[in-house]
Amino acid sequence: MAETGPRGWAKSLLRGWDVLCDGATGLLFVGGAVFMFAMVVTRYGFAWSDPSVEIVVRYSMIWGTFIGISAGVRYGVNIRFTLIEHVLNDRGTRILRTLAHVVTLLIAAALTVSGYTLADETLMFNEVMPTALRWPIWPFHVSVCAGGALLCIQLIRSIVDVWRAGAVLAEDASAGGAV
Amino acid sequence: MDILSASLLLVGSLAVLAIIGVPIGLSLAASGAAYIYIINGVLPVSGGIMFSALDKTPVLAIPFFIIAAEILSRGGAIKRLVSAVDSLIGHLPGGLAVVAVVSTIIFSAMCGSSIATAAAIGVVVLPELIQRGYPQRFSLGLIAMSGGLGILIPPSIPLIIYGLVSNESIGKLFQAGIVPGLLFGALLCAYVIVRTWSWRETRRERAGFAERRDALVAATDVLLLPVIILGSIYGGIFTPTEASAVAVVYALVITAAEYRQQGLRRFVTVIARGCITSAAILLVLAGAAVFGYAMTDSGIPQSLVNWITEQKLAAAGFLLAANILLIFLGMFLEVISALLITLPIFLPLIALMDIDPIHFAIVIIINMEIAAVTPPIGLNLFTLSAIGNVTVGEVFRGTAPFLVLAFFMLGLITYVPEISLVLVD
Repeated sequence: MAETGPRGWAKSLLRGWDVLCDGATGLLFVGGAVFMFAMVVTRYGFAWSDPSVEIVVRYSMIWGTFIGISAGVRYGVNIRFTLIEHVLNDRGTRILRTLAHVVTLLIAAALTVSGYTLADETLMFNEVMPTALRWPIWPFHVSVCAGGALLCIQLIRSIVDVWRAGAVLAEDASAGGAV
Repeated sequence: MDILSASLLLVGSLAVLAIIGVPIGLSLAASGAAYIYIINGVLPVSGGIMFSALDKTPVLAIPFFIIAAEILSRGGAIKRLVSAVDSLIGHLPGGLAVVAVVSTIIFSAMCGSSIATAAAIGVVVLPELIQRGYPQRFSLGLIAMSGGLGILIPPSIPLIIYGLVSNESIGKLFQAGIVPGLLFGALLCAYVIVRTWSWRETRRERAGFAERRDALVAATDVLLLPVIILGSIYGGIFTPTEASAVAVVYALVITAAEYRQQGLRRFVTVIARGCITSAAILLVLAGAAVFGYAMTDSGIPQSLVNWITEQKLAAAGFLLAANILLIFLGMFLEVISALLITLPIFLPLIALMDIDPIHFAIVIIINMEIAAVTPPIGLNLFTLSAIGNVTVGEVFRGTAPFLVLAFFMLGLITYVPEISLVLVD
């Protein structure tokens, strides 16, 4: 039976949040591929192309990457070294994984600050794309900050998950789907 | 900061972060950022370097090829491909085992990933191999090893990354992978034929004309994809990035009927998985850019170049040392990480040694194929272990005879550069 009350709402909210992040990542990547394909068709089929499309696709991929990193932690597909975890018992694995998440959280926080400063500086100097588009660049630099912040949120959730009563540690894919 | 302190800071912090389990991409970024912060006292530089590393059009080919492979492998395309190849050559010596290698070669021409190739072919072929009487250990080893062809035969994600880091032409790198890939495929087929010569019970009946025709018609769209990708790149029609976007849309079109049956939820899951995997790989690329920047700034590669110059090491000796280092690193790191960590060091050295960087790329890729099947971190071993529901050790025991072939291939590619360079202009 589905949980009700604040706990149920929180779960639904988090689930909705996850779906939103996954959906945004998928949309940014696949949308980019479809746009790129459309440009190929118009270039070779109708001898018309707009180089701006390539730039927009590139930036959509960058946004997709920074949003997708946090989803990568949730699904355990981020490439990481897991040999030590395999030789530890359950408690040892939980402790090591918590340590890894806490250190990653600090790095993610630094990434957020770094991304914020980067976006703030490009906004302050009103930097624009060095292309015909002349769009301001700061909305794309915000992706670094947003990615870092999303990663922080996900890591806090992951730390809680590691110690949740009765929780079974998901087998980390180590580099699931990696090359 | 002197070279020793810089090396200790960069390599030491990277090792500590990686060992405790921090994602490799963030470990690389953090190690590099720590160095930059200590030297320059600025933090925003790292975010900017990560952003710039991804802000290149050829990078788009990486997620697009990954997504295309994910769509194809979950959308029934591999099953149709294997059925067609099986109907044509399944009755010959080697039977389904050779079919597995040939199907892997064809799928490798659509997919740039070793693990995705091993998983896609393994899910379809492994149960069938065992059902036809091939020993389980042999079947596991065959698929784990031949999966490595996924990163050698173009398109190849590691070759795209190598091209991005070294500024070499991705088209030329792809060309360089063709002959070694086909040669290694032929070597695997030859071994399989010899090994299974007496296993007559494993061969299927010769397929009739109608079966062959139906299987080929059903797989025509899949078989056309490598022709479209490679033909368009080498025909000078598309760039590798454009070809990768075409591959995604083409994959969506030819698997649409299958996904209609599987349902929207399943389709969305497949797409999300491909995209999130892409993000994980691009994170390593972005993090490695920060690490590479710090490495170059510290002067470590230049010091190594000076040291090697003083040692008067010959190119053959250097290649041997590089192979040993890559095999060792490959035991603990997966392909992209090993590639991105070592390239800032290797690139100035191969220039010094007058080694062709395109040839060296193929040497690295063969090493990474070996890395994918060597414990403790052999990702193809993990993949086949999950598919076959057996231990990683069991898969490795099956892979051992094929590893001998891979080492032979490594020696051949390392010391006969013409094999890699024959198609390159």
